[in-house]
Amino acid sequence: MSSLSNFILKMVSRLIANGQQASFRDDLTEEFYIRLQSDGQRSALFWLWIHLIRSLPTVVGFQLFWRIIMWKHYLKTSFRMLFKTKGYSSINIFGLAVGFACSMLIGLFVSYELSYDRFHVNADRIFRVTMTDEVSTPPAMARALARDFPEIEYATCFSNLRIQPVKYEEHIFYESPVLGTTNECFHIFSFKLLAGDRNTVLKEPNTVVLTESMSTKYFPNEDPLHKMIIIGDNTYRVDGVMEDVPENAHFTFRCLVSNKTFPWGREDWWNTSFMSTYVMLHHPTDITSLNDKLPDFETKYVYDGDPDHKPLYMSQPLTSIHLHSHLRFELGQNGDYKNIIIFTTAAIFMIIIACINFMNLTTARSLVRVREIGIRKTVGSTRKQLIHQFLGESLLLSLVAFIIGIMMVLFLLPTFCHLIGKPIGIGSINMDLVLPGLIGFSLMIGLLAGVYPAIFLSSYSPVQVMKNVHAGGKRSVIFRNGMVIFQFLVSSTLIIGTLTVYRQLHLIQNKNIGFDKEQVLVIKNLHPDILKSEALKQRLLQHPDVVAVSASGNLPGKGNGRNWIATEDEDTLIVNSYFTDFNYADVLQLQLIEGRFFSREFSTDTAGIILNAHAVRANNIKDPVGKRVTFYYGRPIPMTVIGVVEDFHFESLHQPLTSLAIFYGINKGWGINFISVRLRTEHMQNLVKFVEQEWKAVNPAMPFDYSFLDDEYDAMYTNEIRTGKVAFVFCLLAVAVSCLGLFGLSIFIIEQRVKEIGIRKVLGESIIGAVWLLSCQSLKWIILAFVLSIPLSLFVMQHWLQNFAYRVSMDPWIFLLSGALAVLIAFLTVSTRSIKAAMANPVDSLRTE
Amino acid sequence: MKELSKAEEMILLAIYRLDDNAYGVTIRQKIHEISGKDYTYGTLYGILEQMVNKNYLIREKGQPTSERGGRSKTFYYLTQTGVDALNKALEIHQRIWQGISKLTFKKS
Repeated sequence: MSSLSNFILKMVSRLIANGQQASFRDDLTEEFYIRLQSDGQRSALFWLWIHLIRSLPTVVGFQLFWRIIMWKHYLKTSFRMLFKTKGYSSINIFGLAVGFACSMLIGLFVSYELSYDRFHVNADRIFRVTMTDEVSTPPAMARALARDFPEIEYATCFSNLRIQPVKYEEHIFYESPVLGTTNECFHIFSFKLLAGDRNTVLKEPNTVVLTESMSTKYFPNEDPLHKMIIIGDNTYRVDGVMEDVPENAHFTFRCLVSNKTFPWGREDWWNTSFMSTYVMLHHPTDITSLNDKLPDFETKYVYDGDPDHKPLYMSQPLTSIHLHSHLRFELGQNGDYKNIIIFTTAAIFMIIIACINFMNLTTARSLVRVREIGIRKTVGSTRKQLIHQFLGESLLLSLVAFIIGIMMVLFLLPTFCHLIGKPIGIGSINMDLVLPGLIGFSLMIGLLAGVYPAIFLSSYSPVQVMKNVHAGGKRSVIFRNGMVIFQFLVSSTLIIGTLTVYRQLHLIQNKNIGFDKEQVLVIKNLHPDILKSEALKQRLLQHPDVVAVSASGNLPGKGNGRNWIATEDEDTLIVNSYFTDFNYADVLQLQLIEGRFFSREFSTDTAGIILNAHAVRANNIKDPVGKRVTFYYGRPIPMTVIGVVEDFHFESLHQPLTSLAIFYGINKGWGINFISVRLRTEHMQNLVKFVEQEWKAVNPAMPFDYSFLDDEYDAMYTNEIRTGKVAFVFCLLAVAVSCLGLFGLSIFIIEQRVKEIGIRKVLGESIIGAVWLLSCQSLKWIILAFVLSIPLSLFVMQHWLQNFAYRVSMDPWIFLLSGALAVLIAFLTVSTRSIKAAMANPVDSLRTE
Repeated sequence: MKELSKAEEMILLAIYRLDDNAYGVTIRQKIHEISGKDYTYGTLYGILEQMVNKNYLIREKGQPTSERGGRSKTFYYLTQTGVDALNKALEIHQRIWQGISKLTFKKS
């Protein structure tokens, strides 16, 4: 007989009932040899194979028959148990489902955050070159990099033109953001061109590549290629149409215009920085040699008067930008890896809490089932069978919970996306990979959660059980209390964390920021010529409720330039720059310490410069007013300091306050982006209507786009506000799930002590005493959990607060409040049951037996 | 006592006829001889196992034989219950078929 047939024979005979395997095999072999002698090898082998195949169904069927019967029995008892103790079961399943849903949602969020920029085919070869603490680099840099470094295959840069009015025939809209770039952009990034030639687009000045959505907006029924479209002040020829930028890119745009349109795109500008520079290397490992050579590159090109102010060039891998880069002037709003860590930890803890609940409740409930186990053992169940039964039950429960959890996810996903502000669609998830993973995960949870009760329960000896010795013992009590401690440790850490996040949010929204952001209406995104803005200002000032009007290039929280200025003693300072008109200080209500703000009465003021107190302090300028300075904006411009303004937070409170220089920017072609109007009114609606009327009268062709300064300024904290909301939701859920567990556990503990309470009451114990007795047992563990949570939350929250230059302190009252909250919630949870037990008539509990 | 199924009846009869030589191979051959049915060992052992559990049969290990590579055969013997069950089956058969030797087609 061949070895293969022998092997198959062995496999089939394994399926035969115990004790019969040998004779089954031997019988077959015997008949095989009889046939071998009479019919020959081939026909005997043929017979053997046919026989084995024919045997299979009956063998398998017979074998499975009894197992299925047993499974049916197990399922029946499981369901009986589920429905008999509806309260327990729903707490159990619901808690686990919530845990599943939470961790799945967070998993979706985390995987979405990690997917940023990975859609670029060459993502591992793309790097961004940055300077010191900002993204901005000189416009000449990309070209110089490509020229000087053989490692670099392509280099490109983006200028941020922010928001621009776009006009094609009768269509006028604002588009944001508009970026300027070069042809190399399409060689580096995997943006798909739907029309136009990858090798030639954006090579000429005054050309533009539209995104698909923008193209259909302006050219619904025609071919956009080679049409002329007006963006801002220039006319562009449409050279290409590309797919919209995916949501998970660290920067986005509506259209790309050629950098060559502007002077900085044609000339080599080194002493101003406003470009985001990206390079693609031939090989990812070339980055080390590039990093080594960057300092030399720097000394070769960049102005280097003062070693203190030497800019430091660095590189960042493309894929790390979204989560790890927090520089100034980022093209888009980046995420934060700290959030990822915090959320992932929260998800893990959430699922652990849910599992603990599950284990706790299953173990607790199982004590009710000890008699069942006793009976099963007496009737002949082996320990292995019992373990199988209980594991199977917990697997069943966890699968049910998993299905409910999935339904919750599907139901809650839109709300969740809204909460975190990310468009995570079910469609964007790779189901082939995720679904088996999730099912495997839920089975693992079921196993983990079921393994303890299964082993623990099956270890009872039937005699012990039947004698009604309440099993458990010290070990299981310690185990259960340990789990309650852990749950409440996590819960109170979350409570403390949420409180701290909210306090920090309160701080940053209410801190004295040095200017008055209330009651300022901002007309955005304008490109009118200067006369029109002057006319508008005069018209607006007619209204009694308008206090002051100012046209400016910059507003707090809306970005600023960065330039070098040199003092008379050849000190070079890097300052953030603001461009304003005469009335800016009135609108923002800035406080002047020395000198004056730009004034119409001094004709020389247009060549004046105003520093903030920090710039004066940090650079040790004595008697600043009247100092002559040189300002570099492409070329050196002589200027005089005319005033010093009190510090105000022109950036978000994530950043420490730094130096600021305010320039008179009108009439110099440096652009007006905003007209801000200080109001003093009760009737905001009417006033907005008035402003819109006046705007339409002056600029009939331009859309009216306005907002309020406080909203704009607070928009810098959307990330934190989101974190706050998410933390709040998770805190609630974690506390709720922990309470579910505690509730279930207290029901069980109290049930066990009903007789004891009865006896105590007969002996004269008061109701309050009984409630106290029942409650304080759990409460002491919760207080312990709270004490343990103090150092943990201190550590975590200090880490989170590092994000802010201005942060709240972790005051003791926060801890006390959270502790009180945790204990109160726990007490309420436990006491509902204990009060009921304490109020019960002792006759009822003692009558039986 | 439950009535025997056709397969059980056939196997029990085969074992009865085989006297002391009833083990897997011979039982299968006997059934084939009597009825022309070709049971697989899988089916056979399933039913044998059930009938051992029902106490119609007992199993006994024989002496190790050379034809099976020094391993012993497992022989099956009828118990009293088994014989009773067969007798009952015979009785039922006789009653059902009494007075009929050949069936003819009758139109109503």
